[in-house]
Amino acid sequence: MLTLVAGVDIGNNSTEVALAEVDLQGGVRFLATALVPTTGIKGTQDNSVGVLRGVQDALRMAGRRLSDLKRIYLNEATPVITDVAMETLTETVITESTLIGHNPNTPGGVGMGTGRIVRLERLAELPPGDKVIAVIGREWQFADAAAAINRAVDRGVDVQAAIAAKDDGVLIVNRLVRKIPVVDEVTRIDQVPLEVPGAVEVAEPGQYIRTLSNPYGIATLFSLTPEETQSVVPVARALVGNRSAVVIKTPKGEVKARTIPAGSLSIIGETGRLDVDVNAGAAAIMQAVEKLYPLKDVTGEAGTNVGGMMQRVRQTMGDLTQQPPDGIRIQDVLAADTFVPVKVEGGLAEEFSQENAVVLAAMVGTTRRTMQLVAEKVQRESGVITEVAGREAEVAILGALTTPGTDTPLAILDMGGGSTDAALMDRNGVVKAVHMAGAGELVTMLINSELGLNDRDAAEAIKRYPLARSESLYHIRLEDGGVRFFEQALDPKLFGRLMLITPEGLEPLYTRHSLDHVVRVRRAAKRKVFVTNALRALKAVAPGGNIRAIPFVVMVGGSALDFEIPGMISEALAEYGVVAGSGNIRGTEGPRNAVATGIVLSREGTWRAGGDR
Amino acid sequence: MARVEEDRPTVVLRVDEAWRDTPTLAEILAGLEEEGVPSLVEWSRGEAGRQAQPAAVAMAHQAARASRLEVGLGLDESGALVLHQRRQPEGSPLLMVPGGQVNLETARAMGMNAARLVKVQPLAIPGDTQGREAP
Repeated sequence: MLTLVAGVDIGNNSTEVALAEVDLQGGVRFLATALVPTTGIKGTQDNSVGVLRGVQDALRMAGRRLSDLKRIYLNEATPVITDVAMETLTETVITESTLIGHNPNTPGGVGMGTGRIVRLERLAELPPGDKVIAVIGREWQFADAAAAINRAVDRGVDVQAAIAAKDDGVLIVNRLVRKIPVVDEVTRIDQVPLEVPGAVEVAEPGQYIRTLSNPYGIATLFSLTPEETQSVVPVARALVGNRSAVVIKTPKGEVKARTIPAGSLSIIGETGRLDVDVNAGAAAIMQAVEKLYPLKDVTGEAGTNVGGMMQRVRQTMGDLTQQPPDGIRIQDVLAADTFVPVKVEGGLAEEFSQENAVVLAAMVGTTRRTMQLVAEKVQRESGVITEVAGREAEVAILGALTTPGTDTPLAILDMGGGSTDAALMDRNGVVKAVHMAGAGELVTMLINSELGLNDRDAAEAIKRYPLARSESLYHIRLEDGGVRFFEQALDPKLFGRLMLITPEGLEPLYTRHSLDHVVRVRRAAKRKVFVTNALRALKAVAPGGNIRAIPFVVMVGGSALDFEIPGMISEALAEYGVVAGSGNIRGTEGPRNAVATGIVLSREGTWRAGGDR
Repeated sequence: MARVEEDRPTVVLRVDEAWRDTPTLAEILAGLEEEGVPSLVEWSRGEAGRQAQPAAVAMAHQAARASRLEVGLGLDESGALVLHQRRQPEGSPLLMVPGGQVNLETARAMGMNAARLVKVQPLAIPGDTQGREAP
């Protein structure tokens, strides 16, 4: 007599099913595995649609019918939900525009020029020996502009440099008798202040400007006092790494980099409370969290940015759990330092400055009643008896233990979208579990903000897939240095661009960042979140907080499928002498299906390796 | 002298006489010059298209074969403007602006694209070339 049962794990992103047959002796044989997207927010009744879809998929694969099924077991959801938020800590404001720091593709000429800024139209009136920088408006043709400059230079006017509206810097310089540096593609040319001293610098192709990105360079050009030199530090900083730039000295103009008073975060633990100024950075926040762990709540100072940020988190969490925001208690936060490219207020050519920011992932507990409601709905709709089964951490370990080569004591790291969870089972089968705020979602947010994408889907794709750059119409260079050739020419939209190697093919990435930069940002984001959380979580479950006391760590969950996260964590854990790797559930499923498999095993008996179909 | 000229690495343009001394041709050449890539114009007269392809396609491929940079542009009498690469089959040009649709802006962009094809930089693809989306 064989009984057909299904174990179901509803996750933030996907719902997994394990279909199994159990004999009278409690021997379990797995027949099929299904993976479908979770419908609705995890823990809400909308989930039942996905559950039924997954169960039907598994039944179809095994050639069975819904009427054959005796039981459906649902996971008891990880009792936490998470949210992420970000706040900028600095801002750069240009009052009375003073710098043009953009990087046109093809500026003209090379070198440095300084002088009074005048419109090109006025060159004919200027006396010989006048030292000027010409502003060339959009209405000028490059040949006419060059001719006007040549005539003025011929009369002895010292035209030192030019600032042009259109993309024709090279064309103008090619027609000049005396070559000068020209910064072009300055979109808001009408806003360039006139009759004030300015400086233009263009570096050789492949080089960076050196004078205008150096505060003392600017001080030398404009004879600045020590106080004035201090005030141009943000100007110089904003120009580092550019091939061309313009700096203009206006009477009252200044560039201010100011620190936004972000407010303080109050971390409240069982043993006390610490207030941390958010401007002190992520390390200070995380130190306080570690000191006071486990936490009772985290609040932000009222009337400050961080206060507003924590209020938004509470609001979101309250909406999700249908609780009043004031009743929400934040049980963990993960803070990470980051930077955001922000369009400079008052810039002339869409300049961006890198502003410091902090991101926070916050986590709250939820009531366990929610899954019971999902189970009742599934039972009504399927006609199959449906139960909420087993503590999530325990069943996940039971599933993970089907990975060949593992034994107790064993810890799992479940790396999902919202939280990073760890659980440890000792030799006697006793389980200890923790949940840490911050996982895949936070990585996506970091990538999105640090690359200035404003496109969550693109950030998600960068997180998931390796990068390449096309080097000709017929070959691409992969991020590891390898090369792939094609017999057909690449789509012109991919040519010369960065692209992602996705299962659907090559997808162009519209960005001016270099391949190395994108890879660096992606890896740093994954380390900041997953390596930090893996160590935090394992420390919390390890006997005496000693990670070395855990012999085996098995990584499961969606992010364990990532092409580089498991490697990063293995590397970090190798320092502690821990064997860490991605799980291979039942020897066939990879890091997927641990919970669904574990639920069946916790309810029905023992898995017989090799007995699966 | 002629020999030296032919040996220079250039993007070759094959252009119908009808376009001599026109702003359109000047803009194509300006696009190449702004990107810093040398170019060379070969003249032709009244070439006819084959199999529903505008003459510019064959002209561009011929130009690409003559180019030491393997990149050619063709501008036929009808005003069709085509970007080609030597190793591509003649019938598969990279970008094409159909006859009568070329304006000063697309002319400049096609000149730039020819240069960027040499420099391995992203192409600016206007919406009206083979229906491809602009980035």
